[in-house]
Amino acid sequence: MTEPASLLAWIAFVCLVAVTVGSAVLVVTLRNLFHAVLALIASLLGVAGLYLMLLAEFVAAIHVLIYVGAVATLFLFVIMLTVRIDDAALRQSNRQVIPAIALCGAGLALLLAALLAAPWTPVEEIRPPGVQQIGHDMLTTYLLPFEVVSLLLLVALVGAVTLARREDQRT
Amino acid sequence: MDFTALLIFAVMAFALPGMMLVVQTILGPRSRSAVKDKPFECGHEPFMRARGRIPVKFYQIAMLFILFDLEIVFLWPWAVVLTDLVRAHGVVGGLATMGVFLGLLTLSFVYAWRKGVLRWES
Repeated sequence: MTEPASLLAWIAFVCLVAVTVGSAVLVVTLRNLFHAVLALIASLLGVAGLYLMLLAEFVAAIHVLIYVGAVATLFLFVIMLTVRIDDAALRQSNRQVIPAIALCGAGLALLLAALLAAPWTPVEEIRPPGVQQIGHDMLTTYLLPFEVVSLLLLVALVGAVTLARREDQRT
Repeated sequence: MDFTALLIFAVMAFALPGMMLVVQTILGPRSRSAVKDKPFECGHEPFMRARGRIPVKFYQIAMLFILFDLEIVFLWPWAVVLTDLVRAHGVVGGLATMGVFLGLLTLSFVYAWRKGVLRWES
C-alpha cells in the first residue's frame, strides 16, 4: 500500500464502491420509481468500473452496453407504460421488514463465509483474457455454441413478439 | 493494461454537461412568467402531461433493441480477430462464421417485420 500506483487503485476502488453501493441504497429508498431506475443506472456504471479494475474490459463494455444501455431503458419504458405511475410515490417498506432483514443477513453471512474461505490471487497474476483472446476462442473452439446463440436470440425474439402482440390485443 | 484514456473520457463526459449546468445557472438571465415556466413544446400548447403513459409499442421496439444490442456483443470480438481468421481460413471462412450468425438474426428480423412489429399504426 506504499506504492503510489496501488494507493491510486485504492482511491479508485473506494470511489467505485461508494457509487455502486450508494446508488444501490438509493434504488431501494427513493420513492419515485423513475428516480430509482436512474439510481440503478449509476449503480450499474459503478459495477462496470469495478470490472475494469479487474482488467475485464470486455465484460465492462458489455455491461455498459447491455445493462446500462438496453435493460435500464426497458425498465424506464415499463415504468412509463404502467398505469398511474406519474403519481407513484410508493412506500418503500412494509410489514415484511424483519423477515427481509433476516433473509438478507443470512445471504450476507453465506457470501462472507464463501469469500473468506476462497483463496485470493492478485488480478495481475491471473491476467484475464482480453477481447482478442475471447474472440479467438469464440470463433475456433466454441464456434458451434456461438452459432447456436443466434438461434437462441431468434427464439427470444419470437417469444417477445408473441407476448407483446397478445398484450397489444388485450389493451 | 492502461485505462488512462478511458478515465479522461469519463471525466470529460461528466465535466462537460456539469460545467454547462453550472455556467448557465450563473450567467443565464432569470425572468420568470407563466409562459416561461411552460415546458417547451415548439410553440404548441401542451396537450398532455410529459410524465404520462406511453404507448405499448415503445416496449416492443425496446425489446427488439435489446436483442439486436446483444448482437454487438458478439460482433465486437469477431471484428477484433477477423484478420487472424482470414489469414487462417481465407476470406470466405472468416466471413462465414459471422455470416451464419447474422443470417439467423436477419431471419428473426424478417419475422418481426412480417409480424408487423415495426408498423406503428395497427
